[in-house]
Amino acid sequence: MRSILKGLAGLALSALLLAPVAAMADDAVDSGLTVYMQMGGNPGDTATLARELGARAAAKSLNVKLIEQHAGWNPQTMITQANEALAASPDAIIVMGHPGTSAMTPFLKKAKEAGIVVVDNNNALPGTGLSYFGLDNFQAGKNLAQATIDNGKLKAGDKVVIYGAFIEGAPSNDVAKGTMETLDANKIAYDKLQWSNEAVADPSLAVPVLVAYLQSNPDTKGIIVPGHGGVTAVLGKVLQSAGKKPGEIQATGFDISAPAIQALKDGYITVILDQQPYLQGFMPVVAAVLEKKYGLAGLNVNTGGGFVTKDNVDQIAALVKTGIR
Amino acid sequence: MAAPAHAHAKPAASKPRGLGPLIGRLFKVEGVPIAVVFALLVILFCIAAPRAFLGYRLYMSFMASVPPPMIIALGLTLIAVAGEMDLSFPSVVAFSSYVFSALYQNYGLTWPALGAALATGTLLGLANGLIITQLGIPSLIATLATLFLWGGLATVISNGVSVAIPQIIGTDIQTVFVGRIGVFPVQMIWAIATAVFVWFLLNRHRFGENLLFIGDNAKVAKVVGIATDREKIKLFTLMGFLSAFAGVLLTLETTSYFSSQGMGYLLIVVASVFIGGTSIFGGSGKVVGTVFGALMVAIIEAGLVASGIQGFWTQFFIGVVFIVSVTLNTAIEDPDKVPLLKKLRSRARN
Repeated sequence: MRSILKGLAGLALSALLLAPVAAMADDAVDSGLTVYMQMGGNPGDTATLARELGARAAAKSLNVKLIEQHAGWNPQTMITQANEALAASPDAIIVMGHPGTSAMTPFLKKAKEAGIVVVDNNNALPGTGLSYFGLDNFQAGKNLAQATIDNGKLKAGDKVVIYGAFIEGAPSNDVAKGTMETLDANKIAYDKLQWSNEAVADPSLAVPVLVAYLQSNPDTKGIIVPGHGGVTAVLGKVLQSAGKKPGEIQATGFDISAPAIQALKDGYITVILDQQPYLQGFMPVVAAVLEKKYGLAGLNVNTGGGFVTKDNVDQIAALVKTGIR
Repeated sequence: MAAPAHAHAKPAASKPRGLGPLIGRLFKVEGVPIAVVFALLVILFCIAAPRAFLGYRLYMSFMASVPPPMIIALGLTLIAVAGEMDLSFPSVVAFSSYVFSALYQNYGLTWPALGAALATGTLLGLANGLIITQLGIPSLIATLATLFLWGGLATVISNGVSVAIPQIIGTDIQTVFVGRIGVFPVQMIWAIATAVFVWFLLNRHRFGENLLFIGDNAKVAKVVGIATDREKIKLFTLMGFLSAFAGVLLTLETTSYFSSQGMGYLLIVVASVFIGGTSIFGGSGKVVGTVFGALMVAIIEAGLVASGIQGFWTQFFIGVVFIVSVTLNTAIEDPDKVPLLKKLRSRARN
């Protein structure tokens, strides 16, 4: 396993360096660096685990001392933890962009003055020039809405509900914005339901809320969850509780998990957008090492954007059990 | 001691007559005021969202999702009665859920997995009790610490991996605990049975009597011979057991475990207890109130959404409904307990 991981890290290094610099790569593999990394949610949760596993694998391969931070998707906590990391004077800090560029600017200035490398994952920080590994979230939201429209053959005047984050700066807000733009462009009507903090932590609490909505709005043709793997995972339960048959309503969401895979197989969920968070863990650690060792910066990698549907779900299901997908 | 003659004469002279006093006495019965508020809320939602609230599906959805937080809230009611607090229950839920789902997934165990999960929760509760009584740490701080301690331990042991157990659907254990009688979720029967058990424990058993005494005045309770430490250890152990039971019900219903399981219950469980009328200062508790408190907390967001209140307004109106419900609950029980109403009534009399 260790040799596979080293091989993967080496491959990534080779690809990124675009040069046969074996001696330098060896130096990077045994980096001895200390890197703080923001993992986003809570340890092991649906949207976080694969990122953790990817980061740990890269750290193991490159001899990086990895220190993980978990903000429960709270932007304020992310800023606090970034500053805590800064105070510890590591070699590199991997942040998330949820607080926004202006809120992160003081931290970035201090990190630059201290000579600490900063890399971004999961959520972009436009205008900072940081290496970024994640989706174009706005575009991902647009893609999700388009997939919902295409799969459900929705037409102008049809109505869907978006269960997501609509507060500026909240995690997944940009995904919701992209979703709404595409729905607007296609003249699909929609209602916005803001998810509660409790439902974000324990998605089973979202079930009665969505059942109530569907019962009150029987003309709803689809449910879109732009950005929460846990909530996506309960969509099958929502539709069953609301007495809907598989495929009767287009249910689409974000991030794959074992229950979501089951709901896909059962036909309740039709499309899941997979942002491959394993890569969002693995690649930033590699990039941090490259930048610290060789000054290679400004990398921008879209980690996914593919869809999981009934047609390709079996290929992915096995990897979900291990937490890699 | 003989009472003076006028003390008997006065109540007899002012003996209340008519329907008003009867209703007044009815509202003194435990849980009646909050049941009335709950009924008013349902009627309001039936008018505002008839499609959702006049059908059965939404209620069945509530009956499936409310039992775990309700069972925890019943345990927390006893904790509050004793003037204590437990914030660690989300992690006990997660830990027990992991034990149950991991034993099922890896070894195909069902009933032994249930036993192991309940034993885990009981042990964690016992540890909470020992930390509080033997280290002398206030329960609020101690259980805040064990919220992280047990949660962290569960994540370490599980390696952070979620566990999905869809194969458990249709097994005996799933049918017994979260199956359906027709369309009615069985877990609601377990929740009601737990409420009955907790009610008898609090109101008809020496243990409950001791808890009320401790909550009223712990020092005096000790002086009169109540082993306060022992009672508190028993109390937190029971809370651990109930949290574990709730965790198993949640896992069986969702057929999955994930590390943040139970975290969403923290505020709603605390809200259920105090909306139900249990005193935040200890010394009194309302088990029936907690049952309706849990139902109210669950119904509000769904009711508002079904009524067409969406986007950012939902959170705002949840706050409004909370305040109105709690005030109404207090006012129905005794209008003089609401200072504003007391002033208005006083002015009206003058």
